[in-house]
Amino acid sequence: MLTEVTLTLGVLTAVAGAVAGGLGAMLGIGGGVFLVPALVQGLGVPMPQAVAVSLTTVIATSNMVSAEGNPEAINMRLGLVIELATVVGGLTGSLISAYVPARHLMLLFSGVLITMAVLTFARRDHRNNLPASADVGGWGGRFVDARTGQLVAYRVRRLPLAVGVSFVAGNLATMLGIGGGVVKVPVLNGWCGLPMRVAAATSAFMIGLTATSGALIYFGRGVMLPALAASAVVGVRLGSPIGLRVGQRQPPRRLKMALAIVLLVAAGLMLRRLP
Amino acid sequence: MMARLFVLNGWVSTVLLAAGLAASWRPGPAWSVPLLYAGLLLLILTPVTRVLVAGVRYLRAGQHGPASLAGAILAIIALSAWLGAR
Repeated sequence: MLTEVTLTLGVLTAVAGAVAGGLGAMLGIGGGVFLVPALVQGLGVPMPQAVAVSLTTVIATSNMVSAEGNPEAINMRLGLVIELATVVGGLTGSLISAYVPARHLMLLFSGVLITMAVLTFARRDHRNNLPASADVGGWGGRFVDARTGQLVAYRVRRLPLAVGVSFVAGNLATMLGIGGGVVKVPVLNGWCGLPMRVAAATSAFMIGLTATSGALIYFGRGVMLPALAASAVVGVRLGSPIGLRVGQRQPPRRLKMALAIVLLVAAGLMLRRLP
Repeated sequence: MMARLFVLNGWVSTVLLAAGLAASWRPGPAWSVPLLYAGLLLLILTPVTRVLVAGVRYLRAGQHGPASLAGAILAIIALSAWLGAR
């Protein structure tokens, strides 16, 4: 375990945090999919400490996007329902993680990323936007698309699927130091009727909560190295506004392609350095 | 009003963390630790505050379903904190 953070390690962690925050804010994921491999393989941080740092950056990205992004696109009621399943999953994941070897965690991480990349790519042209006057049902909503300036409506479908996937995402999130957005965004957009921007904004709101339960446990166990976490968070603060602006100007298809590529690259990095 | 408060909260935690980092790399008294812990705590508690505010708003609007969900989420996070502290 690391006990000291040198200036060089702090600066490099901040740079990795800025990239993770930029990608996270753009795609509605926490950025942990990039940060964990960067810390473990690039900077030699032990996996449990990398996971703990990553959870704090997920919270930072979530706070930033929820406060300064497009709050109108967040479906708060749906978010609360599926977040309940996620935090329960997060709690079980944090209890299990202490007993799972790092190699198994890394293999699991890579497998999830590759699966989600393939699913995202396969559904890249799928759209859920309805005319503004459409009936949105009990869980749907309307929002103004920042890119087109148009009012868009959507209906929520397959709520039990969203809840089930969120429980699994919560488990993975806490075990792997990710926000779970990499699992939720593709499913919410591909199968549950949410437009990409709503899926990303709602996910960004939820991932902060998911990461909170895990971060508190790592914090309590003394795994969290405050200076390392602080370096990454300062980086996130610099990178996420850029990612947010870039993301709002891109068409959904391009965002999905970017998400699939990020997932594959992160999986490849992790597989290359299996212990 | 609340949105502005959350934005301000984000900046305050960042400033505390940056100040703590700067202090940790300078020789002298170790007052970086309280700054780092305060910044991290403020950061980690922001999503919790957001759900608390949403829950109170739903309760005031008479929407007991979403208010209960918010309460349940907060209870599980509190349980996490307790497990972490054990």
